[in-house]
Amino acid sequence: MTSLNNVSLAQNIWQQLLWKCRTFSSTFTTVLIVQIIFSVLSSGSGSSGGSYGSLLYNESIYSLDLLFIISIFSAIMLGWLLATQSIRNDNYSVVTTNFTETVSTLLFLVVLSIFTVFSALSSLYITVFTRLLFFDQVMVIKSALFEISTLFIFLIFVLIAGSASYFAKTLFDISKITFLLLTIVIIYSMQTGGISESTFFEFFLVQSMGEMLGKVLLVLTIFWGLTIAIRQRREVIRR
Amino acid sequence: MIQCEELEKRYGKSNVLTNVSFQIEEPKIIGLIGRNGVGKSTLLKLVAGHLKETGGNVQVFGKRPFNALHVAANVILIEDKMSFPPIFTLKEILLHAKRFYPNFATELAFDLLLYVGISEKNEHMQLSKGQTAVFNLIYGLATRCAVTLLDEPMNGMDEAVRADMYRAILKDYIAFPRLIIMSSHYLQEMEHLIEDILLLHEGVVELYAPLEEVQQMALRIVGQKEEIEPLLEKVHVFYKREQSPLFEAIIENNGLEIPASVKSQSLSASEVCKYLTSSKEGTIDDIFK
Repeated sequence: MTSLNNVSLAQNIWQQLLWKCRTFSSTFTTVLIVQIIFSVLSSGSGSSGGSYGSLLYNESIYSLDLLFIISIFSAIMLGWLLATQSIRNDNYSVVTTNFTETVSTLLFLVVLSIFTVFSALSSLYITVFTRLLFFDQVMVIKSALFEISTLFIFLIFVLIAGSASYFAKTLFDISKITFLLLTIVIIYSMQTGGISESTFFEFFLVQSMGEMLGKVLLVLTIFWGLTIAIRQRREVIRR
Repeated sequence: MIQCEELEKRYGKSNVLTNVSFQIEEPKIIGLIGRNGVGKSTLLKLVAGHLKETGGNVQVFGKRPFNALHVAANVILIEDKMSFPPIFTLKEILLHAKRFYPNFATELAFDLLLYVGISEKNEHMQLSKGQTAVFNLIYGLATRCAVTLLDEPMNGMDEAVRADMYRAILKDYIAFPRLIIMSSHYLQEMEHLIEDILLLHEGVVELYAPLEEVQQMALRIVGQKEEIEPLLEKVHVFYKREQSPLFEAIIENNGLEIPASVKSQSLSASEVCKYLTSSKEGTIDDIFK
């Protein structure tokens, strides 16, 4: 008789992570291309000009604001997409359980979020190169102020956006009414001033790094804990 | 290997499997037979761990299959709705498979693909219905999982390819014995292949027996009406038809002595299964009376 395959949980999650990175490899290039396009088309978040005799110069302040918003939207779309039925079905053509599939998706979102941050950072240099190549504009990088904490905040917001979206789609699949009611409650709260976009950012952006990290971990644990709990009960239905 | 006890599966208010019990202990090829909608696919999905049982108990390698990684690693379910990420070519799918299934026979898969004339550069979604079925079957066979579940694997294949694929299943099974359960409506075609028959009917296991035993279960008798009719009182009759001057009946083979003037012959397993699961409300001819 053929021998039995012994696959550990960690081994299966790792293989699935690699499989997902390969399956969604186009996502990485899409993120990069979108970020470059927006970086090139926008001329930074502020600029000032001046001249010394015959020399004219323009000083641009380059920030990640726009890329941050784009990255958040990309993460929301991808989170929703990853939770769709057809992608789940593809995963069941290899060794998978509901648990390993969900955990590997979380890890994939972490990888993608890290890539998004580095891609956003590199877009500054790519923009300088692109402008030189196609628009014949010489840009000199005077100073680049990268703070680890800023990058970390960028990373966690992208990850939270993707996780929330994945959870929302999971909830949507299990009960459209619950999803609808939750959406109505959130919109109503925003209309009446109970919560706003800033409430969300204020919740996370606190003085203490430790407190912020704690809040992020708490929110991610809630999202993924609930997602795993819901998905553990779901059957595989190929249509 | 597989143990089902009073297994039940309900979809909403519809009962598909009501009381399924059987036990399979050794590697063999089993034909899973039954009419449309009787729950063959549901049973295979329960064994593969894709579905959750509503009642009763199902165990594969001593574990409940639903969400069990050990079961997922050793059971493969091949069905026509199987899909792969569209980014992969067939070649990439086969190369990646080895990461998940350590026993995966990559070389065999490529050889079979070449033999049936499917380009490895194709994407799974580009394949025709028949080609998809062939590829899925090759994939399932190459995984060499200890339990291989094939849900109507020959659907869409032409006759020549079907014959080749039956042979491929048999050859690979002889080289690497494992449990293969194959549901199909083409029982006659695979009678040379299977060792046991698992017949589902009205939500329960109507029959689970070796093929030879099933072939001996019923007899067709043909003769004069006055000779046949007394015999029918002593046995269970599956079917009878009068076509003057002859009378034909399908009866249970319980060792009844048949007079020499009555012609009797054994039925194929396929015919036995057909009569065992036939409608009790008469035949299609009755509709047109």
